[in-house]
Amino acid sequence: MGREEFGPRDGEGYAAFHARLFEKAETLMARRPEQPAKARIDGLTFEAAAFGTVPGATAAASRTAGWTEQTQTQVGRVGAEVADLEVASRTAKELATDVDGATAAVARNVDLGLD
Amino acid sequence: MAGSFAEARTQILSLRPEQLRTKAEQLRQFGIDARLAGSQLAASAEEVGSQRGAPYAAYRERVTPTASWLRGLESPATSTAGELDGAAGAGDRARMVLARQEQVLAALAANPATRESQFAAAEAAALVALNQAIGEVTQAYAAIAPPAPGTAPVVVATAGGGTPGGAPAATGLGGALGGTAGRAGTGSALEAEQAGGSSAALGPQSGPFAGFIQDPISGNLVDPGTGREVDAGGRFLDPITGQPFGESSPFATRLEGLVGGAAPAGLAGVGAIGAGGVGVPAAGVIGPAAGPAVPAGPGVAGAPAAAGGVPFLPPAVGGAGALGPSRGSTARLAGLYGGIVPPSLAGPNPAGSQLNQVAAQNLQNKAAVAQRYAAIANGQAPAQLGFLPPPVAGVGGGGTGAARSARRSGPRAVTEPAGVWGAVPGGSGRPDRRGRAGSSADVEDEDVWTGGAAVDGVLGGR
Repeated sequence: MGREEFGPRDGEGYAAFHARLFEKAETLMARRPEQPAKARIDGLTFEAAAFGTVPGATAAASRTAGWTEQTQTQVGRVGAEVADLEVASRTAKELATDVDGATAAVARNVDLGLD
Repeated sequence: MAGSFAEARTQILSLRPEQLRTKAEQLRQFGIDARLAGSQLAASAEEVGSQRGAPYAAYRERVTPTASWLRGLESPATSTAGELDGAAGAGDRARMVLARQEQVLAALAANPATRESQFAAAEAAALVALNQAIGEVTQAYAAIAPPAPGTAPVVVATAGGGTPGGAPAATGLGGALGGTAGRAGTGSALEAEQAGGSSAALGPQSGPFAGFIQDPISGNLVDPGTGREVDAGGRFLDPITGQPFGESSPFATRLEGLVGGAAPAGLAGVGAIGAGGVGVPAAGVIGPAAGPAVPAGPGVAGAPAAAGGVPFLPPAVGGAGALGPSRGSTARLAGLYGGIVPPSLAGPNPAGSQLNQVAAQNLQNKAAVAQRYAAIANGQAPAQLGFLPPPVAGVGGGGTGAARSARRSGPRAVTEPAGVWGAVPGGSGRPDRRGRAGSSADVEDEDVWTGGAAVDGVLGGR
Protein backbone atom coordinates (compact mmCIF):
# COMPACT_ATOMS: atom_id res chain seq x y z
CA MET A 1 0.00 0.00 0.00
CA GLY A 2 1.60 3.18 -1.08
CA ARG A 3 1.60 6.00 1.40
CA GLU A 4 1.41 8.48 -1.45
CA GLU A 5 -1.94 7.06 -2.35
CA PHE A 6 -3.55 7.66 0.99
CA GLY A 7 -1.31 10.17 2.64
CA PRO A 8 -0.79 10.58 6.33
CA ARG A 9 -3.79 10.22 8.54
CA ASP A 10 -4.58 11.88 11.78
CA GLY A 11 -3.73 9.63 14.66
CA GLU A 12 -1.08 7.73 12.86
CA GLY A 13 1.78 9.66 14.26
CA TYR A 14 0.46 12.82 12.77
CA ALA A 15 -1.68 15.57 14.26
CA ALA A 16 -3.33 17.81 11.78
CA PHE A 17 -3.04 21.53 12.33
CA HIS A 18 -6.42 23.06 11.63
CA ALA A 19 -5.64 26.67 11.09
CA ARG A 20 -9.25 27.40 10.34
CA LEU A 21 -10.40 26.20 13.73
CA PHE A 22 -7.93 28.40 15.51
CA GLU A 23 -8.96 31.26 13.35
CA LYS A 24 -12.55 30.75 14.45
CA ALA A 25 -11.44 30.67 18.04
CA GLU A 26 -9.46 33.83 17.55
CA THR A 27 -12.43 35.53 15.99
CA LEU A 28 -14.64 34.52 18.86
CA MET A 29 -12.21 35.77 21.46
CA ALA A 30 -11.70 38.99 19.55
CA ARG A 31 -15.43 39.62 19.85
CA ARG A 32 -15.03 39.51 23.62
CA PRO A 33 -18.07 37.42 24.39
CA GLU A 34 -17.82 38.26 28.08
CA GLN A 35 -18.04 41.99 27.46
CA PRO A 36 -21.82 42.37 27.63
CA ALA A 37 -21.83 40.66 30.99
CA LYS A 38 -18.86 42.67 32.13
CA ALA A 39 -20.43 45.93 31.10
CA ARG A 40 -23.62 44.93 32.85
CA ILE A 41 -21.99 44.03 36.13
CA ASP A 42 -19.65 46.98 36.03
CA GLY A 43 -22.65 49.26 35.70
CA LEU A 44 -24.39 47.71 38.64
CA THR A 45 -24.07 49.41 41.96
CA PHE A 46 -26.00 48.94 45.13
CA GLU A 47 -26.21 52.16 47.03
CA ALA A 48 -27.45 51.92 50.55
CA ALA A 49 -30.09 54.51 49.75
CA ALA A 50 -31.86 52.05 47.49
CA PHE A 51 -32.73 50.01 50.55
CA GLY A 52 -33.92 52.86 52.72
CA THR A 53 -33.43 53.12 56.43
CA VAL A 54 -35.51 50.26 57.71
CA PRO A 55 -33.77 47.71 59.91
CA GLY A 56 -31.67 45.35 57.86
CA ALA A 57 -31.29 47.74 54.98
CA THR A 58 -27.64 48.50 55.54
CA ALA A 59 -26.72 44.85 55.84
CA ALA A 60 -28.63 43.93 52.70
CA ALA A 61 -26.99 46.75 50.80
CA SER A 62 -23.60 45.63 52.04
CA ARG A 63 -24.16 42.03 50.98
CA THR A 64 -25.31 42.91 47.52
CA ALA A 65 -22.60 45.48 47.05
CA GLY A 66 -20.00 42.98 48.18
CA TRP A 67 -21.25 40.33 45.81
CA THR A 68 -21.28 42.82 42.99
CA GLU A 69 -17.73 43.94 43.62
CA GLN A 70 -16.47 40.38 43.81
CA THR A 71 -18.24 39.48 40.62
CA GLN A 72 -16.90 42.55 38.89
CA THR A 73 -13.38 41.54 39.84
CA GLN A 74 -13.80 37.98 38.68
CA VAL A 75 -15.47 38.89 35.42
CA GLY A 76 -12.62 41.29 34.85
CA ARG A 77 -10.23 38.38 35.21
CA VAL A 78 -12.26 36.48 32.66
CA GLY A 79 -11.88 39.43 30.34
CA ALA A 80 -8.14 39.21 30.64
CA GLU A 81 -8.33 35.50 30.04
CA VAL A 82 -10.33 35.94 26.88
CA ALA A 83 -7.90 38.55 25.66
CA ASP A 84 -5.07 36.16 26.26
CA LEU A 85 -6.93 33.39 24.51
CA GLU A 86 -7.32 35.59 21.49
CA VAL A 87 -3.57 36.00 21.28
CA ALA A 88 -2.96 32.33 21.89
CA SER A 89 -5.45 31.34 19.24
CA ARG A 90 -3.85 33.66 16.76
CA THR A 91 -0.48 32.20 17.56
CA ALA A 92 -1.85 28.71 17.12
CA LYS A 93 -3.42 29.67 13.84
CA GLU A 94 -0.14 31.05 12.54
CA LEU A 95 1.76 28.02 13.70
CA ALA A 96 -0.74 25.74 12.09
CA THR A 97 -0.52 27.60 8.84
CA ASP A 98 3.24 27.51 8.85
CA VAL A 99 3.92 24.02 9.93
CA ASP A 100 1.04 22.01 8.60
CA GLY A 101 2.59 21.57 5.19
CA ALA A 102 5.95 20.68 6.62
CA THR A 103 4.47 18.32 9.12
CA ALA A 104 2.46 16.59 6.45
CA ALA A 105 5.51 16.21 4.29
CA VAL A 106 7.48 14.70 7.13
CA ALA A 107 4.67 12.39 7.93
CA ARG A 108 4.53 11.14 4.38
CA ASN A 109 8.15 10.16 4.55
CA VAL A 110 8.02 8.37 7.84
CA ASP A 111 7.98 4.67 7.62
CA LEU A 112 5.14 3.74 9.79
CA GLY A 113 5.62 0.10 9.15
CA LEU A 114 2.30 -0.25 7.50
CA ASP A 115 3.54 -2.13 4.48
CA MET B 1 -38.93 48.63 65.25
CA ALA B 2 -40.02 52.21 65.00
CA GLY B 3 -41.04 53.82 68.23
CA SER B 4 -43.41 56.36 66.82
CA PHE B 5 -45.70 56.82 63.88
CA ALA B 6 -43.47 59.56 62.53
CA GLU B 7 -40.40 57.38 62.75
CA ALA B 8 -42.11 54.48 61.07
CA ARG B 9 -43.41 56.77 58.39
CA THR B 10 -39.95 58.12 57.75
CA GLN B 11 -38.59 54.63 57.40
CA ILE B 12 -41.25 53.66 54.91
CA LEU B 13 -40.80 56.85 52.93
CA SER B 14 -37.11 56.00 52.66
CA LEU B 15 -37.86 52.82 50.75
CA ARG B 16 -37.08 52.76 47.05
CA PRO B 17 -38.74 49.66 45.67
CA GLU B 18 -38.55 50.95 42.13
CA GLN B 19 -34.78 51.14 42.41
CA LEU B 20 -34.62 47.62 43.73
CA ARG B 21 -36.63 46.43 40.76
CA THR B 22 -34.28 48.19 38.42
CA LYS B 23 -31.34 46.48 40.09
CA ALA B 24 -33.12 43.19 39.90
CA GLU B 25 -33.65 43.57 36.19
CA GLN B 26 -30.02 44.52 35.70
CA LEU B 27 -28.99 41.45 37.62
CA ARG B 28 -31.17 39.23 35.48
CA GLN B 29 -29.72 40.70 32.35
CA PHE B 30 -26.25 40.17 33.71
CA GLY B 31 -27.06 36.55 34.37
CA ILE B 32 -28.32 36.13 30.84
CA ASP B 33 -25.28 37.82 29.37
CA ALA B 34 -22.97 35.67 31.47
CA ARG B 35 -24.72 32.52 30.37
CA LEU B 36 -24.54 33.52 26.72
CA ALA B 37 -20.86 34.29 27.03
CA GLY B 38 -20.22 30.99 28.73
CA SER B 39 -22.16 29.13 26.10
CA GLN B 40 -20.16 30.69 23.30
CA LEU B 41 -16.91 29.79 24.96
CA ALA B 42 -18.11 26.29 25.71
CA ALA B 43 -19.15 25.74 22.13
CA SER B 44 -15.76 26.88 20.93
CA ALA B 45 -14.01 24.66 23.42
CA GLU B 46 -16.02 21.70 22.26
CA GLU B 47 -15.43 22.38 18.61
CA VAL B 48 -11.71 22.86 18.93
CA GLY B 49 -11.27 20.24 21.59
CA SER B 50 -12.89 17.54 19.53
CA GLN B 51 -9.83 17.46 17.29
CA ARG B 52 -7.05 15.07 18.00
CA GLY B 53 -3.89 16.50 19.36
CA ALA B 54 -2.43 18.26 22.33
CA PRO B 55 -3.08 21.84 21.18
CA TYR B 56 -6.80 21.21 20.84
CA ALA B 57 -7.02 19.42 24.15
CA ALA B 58 -5.14 22.24 25.76
CA TYR B 59 -7.56 24.73 24.34
CA ARG B 60 -10.53 22.83 25.68
CA GLU B 61 -8.87 22.29 29.00
CA ARG B 62 -8.33 25.97 29.39
CA VAL B 63 -11.57 27.37 28.04
CA THR B 64 -14.12 24.94 29.46
CA PRO B 65 -13.78 25.85 33.15
CA THR B 66 -14.06 29.53 32.38
CA ALA B 67 -17.13 28.90 30.28
CA SER B 68 -18.74 26.90 33.05
CA TRP B 69 -17.98 29.55 35.60
CA LEU B 70 -19.59 32.20 33.46
CA ARG B 71 -22.68 30.13 32.93
CA GLY B 72 -22.85 29.45 36.62
CA LEU B 73 -23.33 33.11 37.35
CA GLU B 74 -26.85 33.10 36.02
CA SER B 75 -28.34 31.17 38.87
CA PRO B 76 -27.22 33.39 41.75
CA ALA B 77 -27.93 36.47 39.70
CA THR B 78 -31.45 35.33 38.98
CA SER B 79 -32.17 34.23 42.50
CA THR B 80 -30.83 37.47 43.90
CA ALA B 81 -32.95 39.38 41.45
CA GLY B 82 -35.97 37.50 42.71
CA GLU B 83 -35.07 38.38 46.26
CA LEU B 84 -34.75 42.02 45.30
CA ASP B 85 -38.12 41.89 43.65
CA GLY B 86 -39.53 40.37 46.78
CA ALA B 87 -38.10 43.17 48.85
CA ALA B 88 -39.52 45.69 46.40
CA GLY B 89 -42.93 44.12 46.76
CA ALA B 90 -42.67 44.32 50.52
CA GLY B 91 -41.73 47.95 50.14
CA ASP B 92 -44.74 48.62 47.96
CA ARG B 93 -47.01 46.97 50.45
CA ALA B 94 -45.50 48.99 53.27
CA ARG B 95 -46.23 52.11 51.30
CA MET B 96 -49.82 51.08 50.85
CA VAL B 97 -50.14 50.28 54.54
CA LEU B 98 -48.82 53.73 55.27
CA ALA B 99 -51.27 55.30 52.85
CA ARG B 100 -54.15 53.48 54.46
CA GLN B 101 -53.11 54.37 57.96
CA GLU B 102 -52.60 57.97 57.01
CA GLN B 103 -56.06 58.05 55.56
CA VAL B 104 -57.54 56.59 58.71
CA LEU B 105 -55.78 59.15 60.85
CA ALA B 106 -56.63 61.97 58.52
CA ALA B 107 -60.28 61.05 58.65
CA LEU B 108 -60.15 60.96 62.39
CA ALA B 109 -58.40 64.27 62.56
CA ALA B 110 -60.96 65.81 60.29
CA ASN B 111 -63.82 64.61 62.40
CA PRO B 112 -64.79 67.24 64.95
CA ALA B 113 -66.07 64.56 67.27
CA THR B 114 -62.72 62.83 67.56
CA ARG B 115 -61.29 62.86 71.02
CA GLU B 116 -57.64 63.01 71.70
CA SER B 117 -57.69 59.60 73.29
CA GLN B 118 -59.34 58.18 70.20
CA PHE B 119 -56.74 59.68 67.98
CA ALA B 120 -53.94 58.44 70.20
CA ALA B 121 -55.34 54.95 70.13
CA ALA B 122 -55.67 55.08 66.37
CA GLU B 123 -52.15 56.33 66.05
CA ALA B 124 -50.89 53.50 68.21
CA ALA B 125 -52.77 51.00 66.10
CA ALA B 126 -51.35 52.57 63.00
CA LEU B 127 -47.87 52.24 64.41
CA VAL B 128 -48.42 48.55 64.96
CA ALA B 129 -49.48 48.15 61.36
CA LEU B 130 -46.54 50.14 60.09
CA ASN B 131 -44.08 48.21 62.19
CA GLN B 132 -45.49 44.99 60.87
CA ALA B 133 -45.07 46.21 57.33
CA ILE B 134 -41.54 47.35 58.08
CA GLY B 135 -40.84 43.97 59.60
CA GLU B 136 -41.83 42.33 56.37
CA VAL B 137 -39.45 44.53 54.48
CA THR B 138 -36.68 43.69 56.91
CA GLN B 139 -37.44 40.02 56.49
CA ALA B 140 -37.29 40.39 52.74
CA TYR B 141 -33.97 42.15 53.03
CA ALA B 142 -32.60 39.35 55.17
CA ALA B 143 -33.32 36.94 52.34
CA ILE B 144 -31.03 38.84 50.01
CA ALA B 145 -27.84 36.89 50.41
CA PRO B 146 -26.13 36.18 47.12
CA PRO B 147 -23.47 33.49 47.38
CA ALA B 148 -19.90 34.48 46.70
CA PRO B 149 -19.12 34.14 43.02
CA GLY B 150 -15.95 32.20 43.66
CA THR B 151 -12.69 32.65 41.86
CA ALA B 152 -12.92 32.58 38.13
CA PRO B 153 -10.83 29.68 36.79
CA VAL B 154 -8.47 31.53 34.53
CA VAL B 155 -4.86 31.05 33.58
CA VAL B 156 -3.88 34.63 33.16
CA ALA B 157 -2.69 35.81 36.51
CA THR B 158 -4.30 39.18 36.51
CA ALA B 159 -7.12 40.70 38.35
CA GLY B 160 -9.43 42.70 36.25
CA GLY B 161 -7.11 43.39 33.40
CA GLY B 162 -4.77 41.84 30.97
CA THR B 163 -1.07 41.85 31.20
CA PRO B 164 0.55 43.45 28.23
CA GLY B 165 3.09 41.08 26.93
CA GLY B 166 1.81 38.71 29.54
CA ALA B 167 3.68 35.87 31.06
CA PRO B 168 3.45 32.53 29.43
CA ALA B 169 0.63 30.50 30.78
CA ALA B 170 1.63 27.71 33.02
CA THR B 171 -0.72 25.28 31.42
CA GLY B 172 -3.00 25.03 28.52
CA LEU B 173 -2.89 26.31 25.06
CA GLY B 174 -0.39 29.04 25.67
CA GLY B 175 2.08 26.63 27.06
CA ALA B 176 1.49 24.11 24.37
CA LEU B 177 2.07 26.63 21.68
CA GLY B 178 4.94 28.43 23.15
CA GLY B 179 3.78 31.46 24.95
CA THR B 180 1.13 34.01 25.11
CA ALA B 181 0.90 37.65 24.77
CA GLY B 182 -1.71 39.17 26.91
CA ARG B 183 -3.74 42.15 26.08
CA ALA B 184 -5.41 44.41 28.41
CA GLY B 185 -9.04 43.65 28.86
CA THR B 186 -10.88 46.34 27.11
CA GLY B 187 -13.90 47.27 29.03
CA SER B 188 -16.35 48.76 26.69
CA ALA B 189 -18.29 51.79 27.63
CA LEU B 190 -20.84 50.92 30.18
CA GLU B 191 -24.37 51.02 29.20
CA ALA B 192 -25.99 53.74 31.09
CA GLU B 193 -28.56 51.85 32.99
CA GLN B 194 -29.16 53.77 36.07
CA ALA B 195 -31.21 52.78 38.96
CA GLY B 196 -33.34 55.76 38.48
CA GLY B 197 -35.13 57.02 41.47
CA SER B 198 -37.55 58.21 38.92
CA SER B 199 -41.14 57.58 39.34
CA ALA B 200 -42.28 54.14 38.52
CA ALA B 201 -45.49 53.24 36.89
CA LEU B 202 -48.00 52.39 39.55
CA GLY B 203 -50.50 50.82 37.26
CA PRO B 204 -51.40 50.36 33.63
CA GLN B 205 -50.09 53.03 31.36
CA SER B 206 -52.37 52.19 28.55
CA GLY B 207 -55.61 50.45 27.96
CA PRO B 208 -58.96 50.96 29.56
CA PHE B 209 -57.55 51.28 33.04
CA ALA B 210 -54.72 53.64 32.29
CA GLY B 211 -54.20 55.88 35.23
CA PHE B 212 -55.51 53.37 37.70
CA ILE B 213 -53.15 52.47 40.50
CA GLN B 214 -52.42 48.91 41.43
CA ASP B 215 -52.88 48.12 45.07
CA PRO B 216 -49.73 46.16 45.91
CA ILE B 217 -51.55 44.26 48.60
CA SER B 218 -54.69 43.16 46.83
CA GLY B 219 -53.43 43.44 43.29
CA ASN B 220 -56.58 45.28 42.31
CA LEU B 221 -56.58 48.45 40.29
CA VAL B 222 -57.99 51.55 41.90
CA ASP B 223 -59.00 54.71 40.14
CA PRO B 224 -57.46 57.50 42.18
CA GLY B 225 -60.01 59.89 40.81
CA THR B 226 -63.16 58.05 41.77
CA GLY B 227 -62.18 55.19 44.01
CA ARG B 228 -63.54 52.59 41.64
CA GLU B 229 -61.78 49.30 42.01
CA VAL B 230 -61.18 46.65 39.41
CA ASP B 231 -60.07 43.12 40.08
CA ALA B 232 -57.58 41.09 38.11
CA GLY B 233 -60.32 39.91 35.82
CA GLY B 234 -61.22 43.41 34.79
CA ARG B 235 -64.46 43.51 36.74
CA PHE B 236 -65.44 46.39 38.92
CA LEU B 237 -65.87 45.70 42.58
CA ASP B 238 -68.97 46.62 44.44
CA PRO B 239 -68.13 49.61 46.62
CA ILE B 240 -69.91 48.06 49.58
CA THR B 241 -69.32 44.34 49.37
CA GLY B 242 -66.03 44.48 47.53
CA GLN B 243 -67.22 41.69 45.30
CA PRO B 244 -66.83 41.85 41.54
CA PHE B 245 -69.97 42.46 39.62
CA GLY B 246 -71.10 42.65 36.10
CA GLU B 247 -73.67 41.11 33.90
CA SER B 248 -72.73 37.62 34.89
CA SER B 249 -71.68 38.31 38.42
CA PRO B 250 -72.63 35.43 40.66
CA PHE B 251 -72.51 37.69 43.63
CA ALA B 252 -75.53 39.63 42.57
CA THR B 253 -77.99 36.94 43.48
CA ARG B 254 -76.31 36.07 46.72
CA LEU B 255 -76.94 39.38 48.30
CA GLU B 256 -80.12 39.27 50.25
CA GLY B 257 -82.74 41.61 49.02
CA LEU B 258 -80.58 42.92 46.26
CA VAL B 259 -81.00 42.75 42.57
CA GLY B 260 -77.59 42.88 41.09
CA GLY B 261 -76.25 44.19 37.92
CA ALA B 262 -79.38 45.81 36.64
CA ALA B 263 -78.88 48.94 34.67
CA PRO B 264 -81.51 51.49 35.48
CA ALA B 265 -83.35 52.54 32.43
CA GLY B 266 -82.05 55.65 30.87
CA LEU B 267 -78.89 55.76 32.88
CA ALA B 268 -76.60 53.92 30.60
CA GLY B 269 -75.88 56.96 28.58
CA VAL B 270 -75.69 59.42 31.38
CA GLY B 271 -72.67 61.53 31.05
CA ALA B 272 -71.63 64.70 32.65
CA ILE B 273 -74.45 66.30 34.48
CA GLY B 274 -72.70 68.60 36.82
CA ALA B 275 -70.96 71.74 35.92
CA GLY B 276 -67.44 71.26 34.81
CA GLY B 277 -64.31 73.00 35.69
CA VAL B 278 -63.56 72.27 39.29
CA GLY B 279 -63.02 68.59 39.31
CA VAL B 280 -59.86 66.82 40.16
CA PRO B 281 -57.75 65.60 37.31
CA ALA B 282 -57.89 61.90 37.82
CA ALA B 283 -54.28 61.14 37.53
CA GLY B 284 -52.44 64.21 36.47
CA VAL B 285 -51.52 64.93 40.01
CA ILE B 286 -51.25 61.35 41.00
CA GLY B 287 -48.59 59.66 39.04
CA PRO B 288 -46.79 59.28 35.84
CA ALA B 289 -49.04 56.55 34.67
CA ALA B 290 -51.81 58.96 34.34
CA GLY B 291 -54.28 58.24 31.73
CA PRO B 292 -55.99 60.85 29.72
CA ALA B 293 -58.03 62.09 32.55
CA VAL B 294 -60.59 64.70 31.87
CA PRO B 295 -61.26 67.37 34.39
CA ALA B 296 -64.79 67.02 35.38
CA GLY B 297 -67.31 68.88 37.31
CA PRO B 298 -67.93 68.77 40.97
CA GLY B 299 -68.98 65.23 40.61
CA VAL B 300 -66.81 62.38 39.52
CA ALA B 301 -63.62 63.11 37.78
CA GLY B 302 -61.11 61.08 36.01
CA ALA B 303 -62.84 58.24 34.29
CA PRO B 304 -60.45 57.19 31.58
CA ALA B 305 -61.08 58.83 28.30
CA ALA B 306 -60.58 55.45 26.74
CA ALA B 307 -63.74 54.45 28.41
CA GLY B 308 -64.96 52.68 25.40
CA GLY B 309 -62.57 49.93 26.33
CA VAL B 310 -63.74 49.68 29.89
CA PRO B 311 -66.10 46.82 30.43
CA PHE B 312 -69.69 47.94 30.24
CA LEU B 313 -68.70 51.56 30.40
CA PRO B 314 -70.31 53.52 27.60
CA PRO B 315 -68.15 56.03 25.85
CA ALA B 316 -70.50 58.79 26.83
CA VAL B 317 -69.64 58.28 30.44
CA GLY B 318 -65.94 57.82 30.16
CA GLY B 319 -63.84 60.85 30.59
CA ALA B 320 -66.51 63.04 31.99
CA GLY B 321 -68.20 61.37 34.76
CA ALA B 322 -69.55 64.32 36.59
CA LEU B 323 -72.85 63.21 37.81
CA GLY B 324 -74.21 66.05 39.71
CA PRO B 325 -74.36 67.11 43.27
CA SER B 326 -76.50 64.34 44.63
CA ARG B 327 -73.85 62.81 46.72
CA GLY B 328 -74.19 59.11 47.15
CA SER B 329 -77.17 58.83 44.89
CA THR B 330 -77.68 55.56 43.13
CA ALA B 331 -77.78 57.29 39.80
CA ARG B 332 -74.49 58.99 40.38
CA LEU B 333 -72.86 55.79 41.53
CA ALA B 334 -74.29 53.93 38.61
CA GLY B 335 -72.71 56.53 36.39
CA LEU B 336 -69.36 55.47 37.68
CA TYR B 337 -69.97 51.98 36.45
CA GLY B 338 -71.33 52.70 33.05
CA GLY B 339 -74.85 52.96 34.25
CA ILE B 340 -74.85 49.65 36.03
CA VAL B 341 -75.84 49.85 39.63
CA PRO B 342 -73.59 47.84 41.92
CA PRO B 343 -75.49 44.85 43.28
CA SER B 344 -75.51 46.05 46.83
CA LEU B 345 -77.29 49.21 45.78
CA ALA B 346 -79.67 47.85 43.21
CA GLY B 347 -83.33 47.34 43.86
CA PRO B 348 -85.59 48.77 46.52
CA ASN B 349 -84.06 48.84 49.91
CA PRO B 350 -85.22 50.74 52.98
CA ALA B 351 -81.61 51.40 53.82
CA GLY B 352 -80.80 52.52 50.33
CA SER B 353 -79.94 56.01 51.33
CA GLN B 354 -77.52 54.86 53.97
CA LEU B 355 -76.02 52.32 51.61
CA ASN B 356 -75.45 55.03 49.07
CA GLN B 357 -73.70 57.10 51.68
CA VAL B 358 -71.55 54.17 52.68
CA ALA B 359 -70.70 53.45 49.08
CA ALA B 360 -69.78 57.06 48.48
CA GLN B 361 -67.64 57.10 51.59
CA ASN B 362 -65.93 53.88 50.61
CA LEU B 363 -65.19 55.22 47.17
CA GLN B 364 -63.90 58.40 48.67
CA ASN B 365 -61.62 56.48 50.97
CA LYS B 366 -60.39 54.28 48.16
CA ALA B 367 -59.59 57.29 46.07
CA ALA B 368 -57.89 59.07 48.93
CA VAL B 369 -55.78 56.03 49.78
CA ALA B 370 -54.81 55.61 46.15
CA GLN B 371 -53.82 59.26 45.98
CA ARG B 372 -51.78 58.96 49.14
CA TYR B 373 -50.12 55.83 47.87
CA ALA B 374 -49.27 57.50 44.60
CA ALA B 375 -47.86 60.49 46.39
CA ILE B 376 -45.72 58.25 48.58
CA ALA B 377 -44.54 56.15 45.68
CA ASN B 378 -43.70 59.19 43.59
CA GLY B 379 -41.81 60.85 46.37
CA GLN B 380 -44.37 63.59 46.67
CA ALA B 381 -45.38 62.87 50.21
CA PRO B 382 -44.31 65.58 52.60
CA ALA B 383 -41.30 64.62 54.63
CA GLN B 384 -43.11 65.34 57.82
CA LEU B 385 -46.75 64.66 57.90
CA GLY B 386 -48.63 65.47 61.01
CA PHE B 387 -52.33 65.16 61.00
CA LEU B 388 -54.35 68.15 61.72
CA PRO B 389 -55.90 68.12 65.11
CA PRO B 390 -59.63 68.03 65.42
CA PRO B 391 -61.27 71.21 64.21
CA VAL B 392 -61.56 72.76 67.60
CA ALA B 393 -57.94 73.61 67.38
CA GLY B 394 -58.79 76.22 64.85
CA VAL B 395 -60.98 78.19 67.17
CA GLY B 396 -59.17 81.38 67.79
CA GLY B 397 -55.99 79.82 66.68
CA GLY B 398 -55.84 81.28 63.24
CA GLY B 399 -53.67 79.74 60.60
CA THR B 400 -54.69 76.46 59.18
CA GLY B 401 -57.19 75.79 61.89
CA ALA B 402 -59.04 78.88 60.96
CA ALA B 403 -58.81 78.07 57.34
CA ARG B 404 -60.44 74.76 57.85
CA SER B 405 -62.92 76.26 60.20
CA ALA B 406 -64.02 78.50 57.43
CA ARG B 407 -64.54 75.57 55.14
CA ARG B 408 -66.40 73.46 57.55
CA SER B 409 -69.93 74.11 58.48
CA GLY B 410 -72.09 73.06 61.34
CA PRO B 411 -71.54 73.16 65.04
CA ARG B 412 -68.50 71.64 66.57
CA ALA B 413 -68.97 68.63 68.69
CA VAL B 414 -65.81 69.21 70.59
CA THR B 415 -65.46 72.27 72.68
CA GLU B 416 -62.16 71.91 74.41
CA PRO B 417 -59.91 74.89 74.52
CA ALA B 418 -57.77 75.25 71.50
CA GLY B 419 -54.69 74.54 73.51
CA VAL B 420 -55.80 70.97 73.99
CA TRP B 421 -54.68 70.12 70.49
CA GLY B 422 -51.62 72.17 70.62
CA ALA B 423 -52.44 74.21 67.59
CA VAL B 424 -52.12 77.48 69.41
CA PRO B 425 -48.55 78.55 69.84
CA GLY B 426 -47.62 78.43 73.43
CA GLY B 427 -50.66 76.42 74.29
CA SER B 428 -50.43 73.74 76.84
CA GLY B 429 -51.49 70.19 76.57
CA ARG B 430 -50.93 67.91 73.69
CA PRO B 431 -48.26 68.99 71.27
CA ASP B 432 -49.26 69.93 67.81
CA ARG B 433 -48.98 66.76 65.77
CA ARG B 434 -48.27 68.73 62.69
CA GLY B 435 -45.05 70.09 64.05
CA ARG B 436 -44.82 72.56 61.22
CA ALA B 437 -47.43 75.16 61.79
CA GLY B 438 -47.01 78.14 59.61
CA SER B 439 -45.03 76.38 56.96
CA SER B 440 -46.02 76.61 53.39
CA ALA B 441 -46.62 72.90 53.38
CA ASP B 442 -49.62 73.45 55.56
CA VAL B 443 -51.54 74.68 52.61
CA GLU B 444 -50.88 71.50 50.75
CA ASP B 445 -51.72 69.53 53.82
CA GLU B 446 -55.08 71.17 54.01
CA ASP B 447 -55.96 70.46 50.47
CA VAL B 448 -54.45 67.11 49.94
CA TRP B 449 -54.37 65.25 53.16
CA THR B 450 -57.34 66.13 55.21
CA GLY B 451 -60.23 64.99 53.14
CA GLY B 452 -60.73 68.52 52.05
CA ALA B 453 -61.02 69.98 48.64
CA ALA B 454 -59.29 67.25 46.73
CA VAL B 455 -61.51 64.50 47.89
CA ASP B 456 -64.58 66.64 47.91
CA GLY B 457 -63.98 67.49 44.34
CA VAL B 458 -63.73 63.88 43.47
CA LEU B 459 -67.09 62.95 44.69
CA GLY B 460 -68.72 66.26 44.49
CA GLY B 461 -70.59 65.96 47.66
CA ARG B 462 -69.88 69.24 49.21
